Amino acid sequence: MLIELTGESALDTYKVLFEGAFIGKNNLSETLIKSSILLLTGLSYAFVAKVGLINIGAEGQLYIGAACSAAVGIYGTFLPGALHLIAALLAGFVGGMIWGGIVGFFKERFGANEIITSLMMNYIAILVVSYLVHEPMKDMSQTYPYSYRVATSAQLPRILTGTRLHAGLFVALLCLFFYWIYYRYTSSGYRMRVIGQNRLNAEYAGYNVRKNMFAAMAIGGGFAGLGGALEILGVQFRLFDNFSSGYGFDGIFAAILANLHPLGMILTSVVFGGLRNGGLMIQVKTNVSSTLTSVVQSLVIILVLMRIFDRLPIWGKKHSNQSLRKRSSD
Amino acid sequence: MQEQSQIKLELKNITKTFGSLVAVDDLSLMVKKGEVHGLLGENGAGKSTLMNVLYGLLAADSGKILIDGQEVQITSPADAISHGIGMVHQHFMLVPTISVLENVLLMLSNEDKSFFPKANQVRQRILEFSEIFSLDVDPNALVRDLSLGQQQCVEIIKAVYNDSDILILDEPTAVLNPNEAAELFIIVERLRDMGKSVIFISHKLQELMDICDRITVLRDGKIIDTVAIEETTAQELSYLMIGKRLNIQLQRNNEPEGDVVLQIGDLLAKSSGGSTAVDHLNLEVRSGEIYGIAGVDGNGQSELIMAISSLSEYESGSIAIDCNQLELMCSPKDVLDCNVAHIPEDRQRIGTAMGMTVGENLVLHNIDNLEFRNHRLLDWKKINSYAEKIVEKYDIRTPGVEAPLSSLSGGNQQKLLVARELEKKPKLLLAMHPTRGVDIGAIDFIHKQIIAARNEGCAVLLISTDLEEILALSDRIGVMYKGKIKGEVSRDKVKMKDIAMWMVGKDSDAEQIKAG
Repeated sequence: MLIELTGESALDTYKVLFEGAFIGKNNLSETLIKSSILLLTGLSYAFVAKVGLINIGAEGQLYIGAACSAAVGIYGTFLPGALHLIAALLAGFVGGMIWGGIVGFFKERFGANEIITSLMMNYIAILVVSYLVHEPMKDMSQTYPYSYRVATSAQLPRILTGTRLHAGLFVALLCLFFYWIYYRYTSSGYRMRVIGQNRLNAEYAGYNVRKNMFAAMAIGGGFAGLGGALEILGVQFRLFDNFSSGYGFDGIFAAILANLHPLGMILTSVVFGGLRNGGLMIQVKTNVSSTLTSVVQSLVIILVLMRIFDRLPIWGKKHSNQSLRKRSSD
Repeated sequence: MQEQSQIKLELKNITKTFGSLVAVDDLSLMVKKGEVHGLLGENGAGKSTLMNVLYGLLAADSGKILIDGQEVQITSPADAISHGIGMVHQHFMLVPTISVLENVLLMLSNEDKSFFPKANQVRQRILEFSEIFSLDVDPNALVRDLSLGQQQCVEIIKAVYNDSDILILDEPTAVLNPNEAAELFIIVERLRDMGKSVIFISHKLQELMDICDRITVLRDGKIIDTVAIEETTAQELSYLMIGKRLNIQLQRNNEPEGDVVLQIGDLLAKSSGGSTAVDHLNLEVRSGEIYGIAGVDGNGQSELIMAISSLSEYESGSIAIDCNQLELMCSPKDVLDCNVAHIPEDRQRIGTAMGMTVGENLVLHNIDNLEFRNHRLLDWKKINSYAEKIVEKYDIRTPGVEAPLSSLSGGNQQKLLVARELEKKPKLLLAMHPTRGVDIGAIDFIHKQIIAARNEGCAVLLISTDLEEILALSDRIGVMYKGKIKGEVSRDKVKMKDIAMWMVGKDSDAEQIKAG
């Protein structure tokens, strides 16, 4: 309807959106590149959500992770071959870990509300990166505030010729696999789930709730930091202001929409990645602004938060039954 | 008399299933005008489910509801209210931070859509009701400032406000003390005199015998029998309810008492409010002994348990478990490492994780057990088969080990908790209100399990406000009053009179004579 208001055909626009996102080797690759970052920022939210905390700091963790991996990518040239790439990726993870860990530390030590602190840390991270690219890491040959280029030995290898699709996709999937195994098949993952379900129960069972929360925040932050590393080492190769355009927040939505389920998160990340990529395409090919995709995304989120989907026959069945059962138990 | 026997409400062939669990099975029930009709049954017998169907909170799979001989469709509480059915839920449905008046207005907001509610009119109405039932309810008081008994009154006013003719009371005395319960009974009688039909749900036999005209006994979602109160006895009812005679005589090995397992010296602990809750208390529990602490709730029992289990800090004093002296600031894990099992007083808030499955809850303590591993990962097949064994051993009624714990009835949740704690084969068991809110069948079962643990040499510290429970289980009994053990007596020398005196803080006769 919104599209019709701008005078374009809605169906055609959606066609462009879909084709721009998924049809053709190049378009699909671009979508997958974006999806893998969304998957990682989504994991950052999901990993923390399992212990009952809410991490909306993925954006900041992504920025710091990007900065750290860029630093290693640019200045760590003394490292041989593949080791350089691995070190750069690790730096991204560690950077995000530190940023998430700070939030976790405040939570553990002072009980500070993690929603507020993680949100605030976003702004700090963005400004830190801004400082880095204006001052210490600035490439003097450039007019704009860009950092130096990441050395080729630290760049993620392309996995499909003729496109920009890079090995970061596997990194993201590996992390997802770890997330699934960790929470389903390890005892420390089980502990974290107990903490998320009932903190008092976990304390009663002698689990160290605070330490686990701190660890979850740090690991979650690490995932988002890795997402930042992917963007720098796989696509941009340089650090610059505002490179992320909201990956951190879209990842949260992807995770919520998938109800933190691993396979669901693949699906939602690809859909959101597609919306991002296709959105650019409709901007090029039609008169509709790419912000439209943000509108679509936001509508989906609002519907999810309103629990509309719970009322649909297939999707909602499990949930509604559970809520009824709760009532019936006396 | 003729009018009295008129049928007010009739439920015909109601069936309700949850998954593979049949909660209410082809059940028919008749309630007369002006009678108090008791629904008696164990937890999970289907009482609450049936009433939730009647009140429109659950949709029945099949069956009919007739009011005054007319078939009615009830699909929501609003329908139920418009057909003159009022319900007081087991857990209060009140907003604590606003006033009584506002709570009633909130309920009315469905019908009264005007922007400015008719507050004065409603206040008048509340006062009228207070007069009729001789209640002491100030419409302007905040709900959180009211006692539980008064909150119950507000709930009743809400339920009868719309002139309902049928009133459902779901376990109304569960949270009340005996005095408040007695007041409630007066109100219920007054409601009956006004010609209203009251459905009174409970698993406490005695109170049903006191208040009801007829009692319907439910078991496993079926009606076992409906009996008039004059024609039955408590013994018969309990037989109907659990299907077997109660085993009151518990098997007890009189083995000699062993070493001291729990030793508490000069313990001082404060309540969360900052007042002294446990006041220089001394206590010893030996291996193979059940030490029962009786007393009125709120005399420091909770704080004592929290201090022993290190779930909250205490001021000073010493606690030693199995010869390990615990430090003042040790973690709950340090206590558990001394092989301590703990049945906490609030199973839903502390004891279990309601959102997790039955199996996941059962392995809370032993998740690191190598039996559950396949290479270094958890093997859920092994965990679930372990859980199935426990479920069978302790007769926990569940749709399956992968069902969420919240789908079990309260009694079965408690059984699961007891099972999990006793499977640790503990040296010391801390049990607080182990059978609170649990039906007779499960109480009997849990008591047997605790005795069995004792016979195997476990030291048990049992805290309960249910004196019968204390008397039935304990080898030694201490009465706690204002944070101290007021008096202590061994099983064979118990005099009810002494215990009653200690509970209100007086010295027993014998001691008074000595002092004199």
